[in-house]
Order: sequence, then structure tokens, then C-alpha cells
Amino acid sequence: MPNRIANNRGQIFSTDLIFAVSVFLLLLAFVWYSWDDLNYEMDRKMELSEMKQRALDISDALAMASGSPDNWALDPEGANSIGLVTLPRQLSDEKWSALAGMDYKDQKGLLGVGRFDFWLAVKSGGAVLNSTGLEPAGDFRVGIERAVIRNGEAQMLSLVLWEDYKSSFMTYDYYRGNK
Amino acid sequence: MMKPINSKGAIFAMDAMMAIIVVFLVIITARTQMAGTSLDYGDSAYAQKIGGDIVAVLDETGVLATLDESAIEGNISALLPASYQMWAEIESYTTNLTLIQNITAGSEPADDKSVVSSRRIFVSGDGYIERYNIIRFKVWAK
Repeated sequence: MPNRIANNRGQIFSTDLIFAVSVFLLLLAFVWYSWDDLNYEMDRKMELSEMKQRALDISDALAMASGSPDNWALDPEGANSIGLVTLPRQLSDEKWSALAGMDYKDQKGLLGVGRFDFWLAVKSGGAVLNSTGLEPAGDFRVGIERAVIRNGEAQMLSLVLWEDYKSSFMTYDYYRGNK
Repeated sequence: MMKPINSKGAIFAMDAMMAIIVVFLVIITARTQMAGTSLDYGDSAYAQKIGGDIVAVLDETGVLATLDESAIEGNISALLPASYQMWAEIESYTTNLTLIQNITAGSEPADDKSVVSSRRIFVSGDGYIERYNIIRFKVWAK
């Protein structure tokens, strides 16, 4: 009898323990997953916020400033910064052509897009009239559109900053695999 | 003799439950905050620029000075990014500041929308100043 009681007690204790540990592990796994998912969303949101801010700053420089020096289009290699207007929102064809004629790397450096890629276009009525940069790939992007005047006509200066997952820190997510 | 052991178990279980509830509350609160629909700084700064750009461009291209409601509304629609909406109201005054015309373009935003607003003063007339005008506008994300 004493042995039986001892055995039964041990079995009940084991079943109880296994059940408790299983429930605990399930909850722990769920919390872990939720926490990781939250971190992922926060990273993504912060990255998007940085992209938005940078895109706004760049669009301001392009649509509101003439660049440095003012007539940088005459000597694009000597440009310190780029602006596409002569007066705020008055787009200059000469400056656009000078920017479009540069290497992509030089464009990136002068625009200050950092690790992001960019695509810049002038649109009218939804149609792209001119564009430069790399066409966006993937859905991680921020688009900014600024109304400008070109040859007396209202047009849109459209800037897209984008990042390719394949080369970003979000390329591989440890818990969900490749995006 | 069994009661104290059971009670200890209950306290441990409650402790674990409380810890899990706290963790869930943190996660749910963080998610709710992140999913908020209000405009963040970047969105509101962008909305401000959209409105300012459109009104400035329409002023400088002479569209506002026509005081033609359909032309103004059409131009605003053409220059507005797809994910934003804009409402504008123009009050037109004679040179002795008598209100003689009121024009609106677009529909006003719903109460639950985060809106940025501003205004611009412009003049209109054929070769000389005939009217002083104020355009007030609101921009918000759809």
C-alpha cells in the first residue's frame, strides 16, 4: 500500500506538471511571437517614418530651393546641393536636365537619400513627362508629390524613396523567413 | 495538512496569470497605439505642404484670380495626391472690404479626421486690384 500511494502520487504529479508546463510553453510561445511581431511592426514603422521625413526634406530642397551654387546646372560636377527651381515651385528645365544627366550614384549623393533608392518624375495629369533615378521595386516605399509650375503650367514633382528588402536589414526575418 | 500546499499552488497560478495579463495588456496597448489613425508628424507636415503648394501654384498661375468655382475645384483635384483630400473656401472682398462672393471647393472633412489648415491672401483684377481675397483650406488623409 505505501508503495502504491507513492507511485500514484508521482504519476498525478507528473501529469499535472506536464499539463502545466505545456500550457506555460504555449502561452510563452504566443507571447514571444506577439512580442516579436510587435518589434517587427515598430521597426517597419520607424523605418517608414525616417523615409517620410527624408523624402519631405529632399522634396523641399528640390521644389523650394535653387541649390548651391544657384547656377549649379552650368557645372553639375561642382554642385554642393541640388535644387530644381529658380524661384520656389518654379521648375527649371535646365536644372532638371542637369540632374537627369548625372550618374545615379552622384544623384544619390547630392540628394542625400542615404541608403534608400529614389525615383523622381515630373507628371502632368497623371502622365509621366520626365523621370530619373531607379523605378521602385517592392512595396517598401514612400511617395511625395509637390505641385510646381513649369513653363507656366501646373505640374507635379513626384519623388519616391524606396528600399529593396533584399539588401536591407529587413531582408530576412528570423521568425518568418524571406519577405 | 493538504490545504497549505493547494493554497500555495493557487498563489503561483494567480501570479503567473497576472504576469501574462500584464504582458498581454502591454502588447495590446502598444498595438493599439501603433494602429492609431491620427496623422503623425510626417503626415501632417506633408499635408501642410500639399495645401500650401497647391494654393501657391493656383495663385501664381492665375487660376485663383479667376474666382471660377469649377476651374478651382478641377485644378485642386488634378494637383492633389490620391491619398489626400482638400477643402477650400474663398471669400472675395471689394477694395472697401465688402464681402461680395463666397466660393467653396470640395466637401468638408468628417469630424474624426486629423486635419491641417491654413490660409493665403491674394488679389485679383484686370490690370489693377479689384478684389482682396482670402482662401482658407483644409487638407487631410483619406
